[in-house]
Amino acid sequence: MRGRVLKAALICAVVGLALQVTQGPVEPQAAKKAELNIGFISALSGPGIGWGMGMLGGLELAAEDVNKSGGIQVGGTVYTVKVTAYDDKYTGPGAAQAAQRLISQDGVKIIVGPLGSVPMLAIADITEGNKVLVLSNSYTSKALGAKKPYTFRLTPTTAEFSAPLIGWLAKNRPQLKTAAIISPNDESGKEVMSHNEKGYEKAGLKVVFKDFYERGTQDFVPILTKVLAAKPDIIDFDGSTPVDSGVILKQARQIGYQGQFLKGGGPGTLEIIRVAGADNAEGLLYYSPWDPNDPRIKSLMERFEAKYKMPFNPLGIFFFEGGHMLFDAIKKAQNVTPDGLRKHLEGQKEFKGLLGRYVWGGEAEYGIRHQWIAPFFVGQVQKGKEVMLAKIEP
Amino acid sequence: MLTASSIAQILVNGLTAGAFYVLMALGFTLIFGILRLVNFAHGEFYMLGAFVVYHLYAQLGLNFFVALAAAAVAVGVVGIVVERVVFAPLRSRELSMLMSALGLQIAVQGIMAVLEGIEGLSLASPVSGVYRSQWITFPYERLLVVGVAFVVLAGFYGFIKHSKIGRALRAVAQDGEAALMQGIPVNRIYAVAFGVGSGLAAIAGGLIGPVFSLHVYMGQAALLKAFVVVILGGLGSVPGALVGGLVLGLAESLFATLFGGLTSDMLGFLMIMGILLWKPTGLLGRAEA
Repeated sequence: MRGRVLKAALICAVVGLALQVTQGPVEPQAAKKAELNIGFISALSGPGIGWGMGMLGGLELAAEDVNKSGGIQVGGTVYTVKVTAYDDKYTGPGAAQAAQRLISQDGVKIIVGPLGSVPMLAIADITEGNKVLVLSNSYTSKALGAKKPYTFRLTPTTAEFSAPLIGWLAKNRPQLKTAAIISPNDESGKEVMSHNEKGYEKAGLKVVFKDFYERGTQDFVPILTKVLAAKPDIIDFDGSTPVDSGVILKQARQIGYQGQFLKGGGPGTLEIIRVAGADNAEGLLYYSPWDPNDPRIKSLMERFEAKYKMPFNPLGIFFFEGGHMLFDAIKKAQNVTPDGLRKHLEGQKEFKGLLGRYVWGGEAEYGIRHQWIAPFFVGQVQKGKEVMLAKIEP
Repeated sequence: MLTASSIAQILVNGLTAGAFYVLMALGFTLIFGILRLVNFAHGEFYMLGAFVVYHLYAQLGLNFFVALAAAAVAVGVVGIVVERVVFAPLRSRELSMLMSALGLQIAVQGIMAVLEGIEGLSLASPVSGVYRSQWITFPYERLLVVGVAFVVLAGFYGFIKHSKIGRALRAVAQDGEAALMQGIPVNRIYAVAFGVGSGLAAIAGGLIGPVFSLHVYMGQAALLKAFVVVILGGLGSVPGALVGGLVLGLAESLFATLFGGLTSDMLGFLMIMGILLWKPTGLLGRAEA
C-alpha cells in the first residue's frame, strides 16, 4: 500500500516535471496599455469661461486621480484617461463644430459637456446619430428624452432644485411673499424661469414681475426701475451669469432696493460678491452645489486653483464627481463602449461621491432616467463670506 | 402708466446711458472719420482703460480722476503705437485694416485674459450715495458719468474747433489728399486721431467700471453699442455721435420702463431701422461723394 502511494506520487512528480519542461514557466500576461480619449466641449473663453473652466478642471482632476492610481483596467487592457477639450465660445455653432471634430477626427466615443442649452441642443443630433455617450451640462428639458438614449446630464437643473430651494425659503423666511424674476433671453433663461415660476407657485409665493434681457446688457437700471415699481420681496437672478447677477444686484441696491436677493441658477457666488461688493451682496441667498467650508472641498479648490490659476467654480464639482462616476462605471461594467456604459448607468442604483449620495432620476420630467440628482446647500452671503444654512438631500 | 415722476426717471436713466454711449461712440466715430477704419478693437481700448483705472485707483490708491487721466494718456499712447505698427502699413487697404482690427481685438482680449484672468471684478465708486426726490432716484456715481461725459465732450469740442491739431484733424477728415498738399503731416494726424479715439474709449471704460463690472470681455457689448450709435448718428460725424448716443439711451430707457428689457431691445432696433430707412446716412451723416 505504502509502496503504491509512493509510486503514484513519483509518477505525479515526473509528469508534473515533464509538463513544466514542455510548457515552460507560467507567467502572468502583461496587460495591454491604451489611452481612453474623453472629448470635452464648453465655453473656454468669453463670459461663460468661469463655468466652462470649472467643468474642464473638474473632469481633468478626476482623470488625474484615476491615472495616478494606475488607470482603469478593462479585461486585458489598462486605460489611462486623456481629455481632449474644445472651446465652443458658449455658442451652438461652436459646439456643433467641436462635436464633429471630436467624433470624426479625434475618434471619441464619450463627450463631457457642453455648457448651456443652445450648445447642447446643437450637438444632440450629431452625438445621438453617431451613438456617442454624452454627459452634459445644460438647463433645457429638451436635452434629455426617450429619443436621446445616449445623452445623460450631470448637472441638476432648476427643475430638480428650484422647488426644494424656494420651498425652504417659504418655510424659513415666511415674511417673503412676492418675487420678481430677471433672466437672460435665451433657451437657458427661459427654461430656468419656467422652473422657478413653478417653484414659487408650489411654495405659495406670487411672481409679481418677470422680464428677460439680452445677454451683454450692462445697464439694468431701466428694467430695475420697473421691478421696484412692482415692490417685490425677492429679486431672483434666475439664469443670469455671476457677473450679470452681480451687476443687477449692485444697480438694484444703488437705486434703493432693500429686499431679498436670490440666486437659484448657475452658481458663482464669489464672483457675484466681487462684482457687487460685499456690502451690497450681504444677505444674498443662493443655491450652492457644495459647502465651500468643507475641508475636502477646500482641498479640491486649492488643487484646482494651483493648476488653473483661477477660482474653482462650484459647477465644476459635478464634473469632478461625474468624472469619477464615469471611470467607476467603466471599471464596473468592464466596458468602454457607449452602449455598454449607457446600460450600466441606466442600471446604476447610486454613486457615492465626495458630497454624498447621487442618484439617477428625471423619468417624470423628461421621460428617461438620465438626470443626475445631487445633494445641495442653501447658502447665504454674510460679511462677504459664504455660509451654508442647510443641506438638502435628493 | 406714465406719471410725471416715471417720465423724470426715464429721462435720468436715458441721460446716463446716453452719456456713456456718447463717450464710447466719440472715439469710434473719430477714428472712422479720419482713418476710414471700422475699429473692431475699440471695445478693447475701453476695456484697457477700465483695467488701468482699476490698478491705479483700486489697487495703488491713486485719486480716481488722476487714474482716469492716466488711463486716457496711457491707452492713447498704446493707440498711437498700434496705429503706427498695425494700421499704417495697410493704409488704403480698407479690408485688410478691418481684418487687422478684428485680429487686434482677439489678440488684446487673449493677452488680457492671461494677464488679468477672466473673473469679473468690481471697482469701488469714487462717490457714493443717491440723490432722491419725489421725482427721481439718481445715484451719484451715475451723475458722475454724466458730468465727466459733459466735460470730456466740451473739451473734445474745444480741441477739435480751436486747436491746431484739431483743425488738422478736420482737414484730413474732409479731404486727406488736399490736407497733404497744404503741408499737413497726414500720417502723423492719423496716429493722433487713433490715439485720441483710443484715449476717449479708455475714459469711457474707466468711468463706467464702477457702474457696471470689469472683465476682459467687457468691450464686446460696449463696441456693439458704439457701432449702433455711430450708424444712427452718421458714421464719422462727431455731432452725430452725440445725438445718436442720447437718442439710443433715451429710447432704451423709455422702452425698457414701458415694455421691459426684451421688448426694449427689439423696439430700439426697429426705431433705428426706421430712422435709417428715412435717412440712410444716419441722423447727421454726410452722403458719400
